[in-house]
Amino acid sequence: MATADVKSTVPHMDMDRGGAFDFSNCIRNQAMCKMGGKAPKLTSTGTTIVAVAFKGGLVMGADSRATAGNIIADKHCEKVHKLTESIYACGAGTAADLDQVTKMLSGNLRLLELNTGRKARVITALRQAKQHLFNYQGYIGAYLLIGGVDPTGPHLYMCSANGTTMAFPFTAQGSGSYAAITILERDFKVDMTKDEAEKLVQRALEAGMHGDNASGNSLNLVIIEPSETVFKGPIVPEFCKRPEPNDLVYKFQAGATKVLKHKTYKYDVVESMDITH
Amino acid sequence: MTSFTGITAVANATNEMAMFKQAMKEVAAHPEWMSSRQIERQRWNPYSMEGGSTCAISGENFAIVASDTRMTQNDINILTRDAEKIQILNDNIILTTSGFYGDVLQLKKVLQSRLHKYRFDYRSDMSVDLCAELLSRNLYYRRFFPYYTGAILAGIDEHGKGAVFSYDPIGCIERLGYSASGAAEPMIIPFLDCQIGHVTLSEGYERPELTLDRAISLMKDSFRGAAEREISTGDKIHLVIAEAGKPVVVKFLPLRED
Amino acid sequence: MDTMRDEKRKAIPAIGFYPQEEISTGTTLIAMEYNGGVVVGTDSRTSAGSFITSRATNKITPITDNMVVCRSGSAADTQAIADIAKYHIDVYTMTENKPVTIYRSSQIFRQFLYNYREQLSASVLVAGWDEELGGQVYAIPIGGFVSRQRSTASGSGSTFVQGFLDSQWRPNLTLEECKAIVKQAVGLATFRDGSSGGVVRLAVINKAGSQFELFRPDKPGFPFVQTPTPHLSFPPHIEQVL
Repeated sequence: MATADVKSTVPHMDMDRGGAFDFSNCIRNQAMCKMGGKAPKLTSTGTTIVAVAFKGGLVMGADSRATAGNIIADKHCEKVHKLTESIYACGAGTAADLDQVTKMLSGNLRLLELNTGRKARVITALRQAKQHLFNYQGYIGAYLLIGGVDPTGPHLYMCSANGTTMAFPFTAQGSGSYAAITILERDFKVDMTKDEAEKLVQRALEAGMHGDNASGNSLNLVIIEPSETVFKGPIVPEFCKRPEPNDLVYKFQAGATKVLKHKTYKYDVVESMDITH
Repeated sequence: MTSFTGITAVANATNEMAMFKQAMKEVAAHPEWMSSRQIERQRWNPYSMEGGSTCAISGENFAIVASDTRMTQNDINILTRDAEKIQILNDNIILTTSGFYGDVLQLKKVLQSRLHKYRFDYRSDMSVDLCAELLSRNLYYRRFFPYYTGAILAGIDEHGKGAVFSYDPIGCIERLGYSASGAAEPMIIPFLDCQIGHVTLSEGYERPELTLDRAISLMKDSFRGAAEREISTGDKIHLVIAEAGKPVVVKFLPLRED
Repeated sequence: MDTMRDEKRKAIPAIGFYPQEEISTGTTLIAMEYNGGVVVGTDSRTSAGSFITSRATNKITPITDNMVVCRSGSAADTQAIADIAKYHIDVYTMTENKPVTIYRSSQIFRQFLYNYREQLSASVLVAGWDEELGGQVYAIPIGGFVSRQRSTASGSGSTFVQGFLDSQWRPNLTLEECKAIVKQAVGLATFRDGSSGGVVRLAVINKAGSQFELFRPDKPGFPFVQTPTPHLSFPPHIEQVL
């Protein structure tokens, strides 16, 4: 009953597109808020992601912090997503959207590879992402750096949540991208060696992690070359380590926690199962 | 994650369901994102929050105050790693404030000038109890355009005992054993409740005495813990130690910078 | 050119949607007919709010060998429209086994830009050459109104150079003359318009096909603008070094 009402009130939002999203709970949640409930917060990965092309390959990297508001929700989250053996995507934006979009891409690309018997191309991944995201008019909050090596060479693309795509020799995304891009703009050179590119990406990520609150903890790198893909990480920069350990040891004696209430439930064992594998 | 807490308890379940249905109907007719209130909420406002956390602990003959030194914009952007949120007002009064940094500075200025005037008028330093009341009144004076701050006043009172006063933005005052304010307040308070207040400890278990050393260690650890999980807290601990009959000691200790 | 569009779009907290960037449109597109085809010129700046997302964007998108489209407005929308229109034009070319005229292509663009005018913020210049009418430029601003132009400018930088174009255009320009005017116009516009900048990209479309050229500020050939030096702003007794 509510779905019909929502449809008429929410502009530019197709409720039934592919049956993928169901917005009817928006209304329910608002009704619950109205009765004094509190709405949950989405996990948005304030992020630094960086990618740089070098002679013959590509280095991509990301920090590993996921935040929910001003709380660090995950210190070791994986923002470098594998699409195929030689195509990777780094994501910034809403964590759930990124997971689903990259899952969809990797599935579709694998099917394509199996159907054609060839390696998928980076531009294919980009097209799929772009058309999917444009369809949802920015409501899927996925900001991607898609990069990899295919028979036509190394490629690096940016795909924004509203479907804008661009090709770059180097770029950064996420809340830490402003700090990271300054390093890239200063130090990027055409046809760097693998080593130089790797160092540059790491320095750019560290700048992002240092200057941006929502990025930090550790960084992951993936180096993609025609011959092999190497994954490095997690690397913990010096400033991300705790400078001093805790002063005290917080160990509680057994039984130290106050017991406020006792209640015993009686039950009959109807069936049991051995779970010691 | 998806927990809707605090839904108004209504004795009659049927009645509650009817209320919910009514709410559904109203909301469906006027979704929040279409309302003018929603647009209103996005308008410019004169306050901002520069993040960071502060904390104070009082003991038998001491009071310690600490804050981090990070100042942020929109919780994301780091403005400076050397912001000072603690003001030593005189030998036995320390003010620490979190919230809108403009008001933090203004509040400091107001109190400093009032303390200065007090010295002229009475030829002695103000006591912490008096200053606490003064601060409360200054905050309430701006009841309808408040200083957007969470202030904590700490120091050594006239009897040589440690004192901590905690405030809300409009001057509600409370004398406590320990207090915290700012972004990491929800993390530090439960920690201190456990370690100093011993609120979860059963009878008959050891309650370590709150010595100055232990208080300092707890203070450091609470900031180290907060910096692990709260993004606008970090860079340095600014620690101020006031002990009865001794000069105030100021220390800076490193925290993680990411 | 922007990576996000539609200033009407508001945050929807209920579904966790918060628009990421502020919107302001900025581009310079110039297109001009000459006696054997058309010349188009653009800047290369793409911005999201005050941040320059890309400083070397290509806003001239080839559609066929003898036709390009210059995009301004939301980058996502114009890219999508260019993709869809290109697809349709390609299909027509194949089914009819002869090139689609520039006019008809402009009508295909119009179809999408007009039908979805409420949801899009896209404006394009369709420029090309065909056997029937030679070089042609069709301007389609936001809303989907098509008009053929001999010389036109579009985007936020266009206001700065309309007068210049009016003063320079005359019938039967040669290729070199036309290229010089278009390049100069882009240079003038990017100099005064904050949302245009970067390099200058030119495309010449004629019977032979499309030729693309690039002019970078650090290489010769970039249309720099020389403005009058300012007068002293301090009183005469204060020494001022210019």
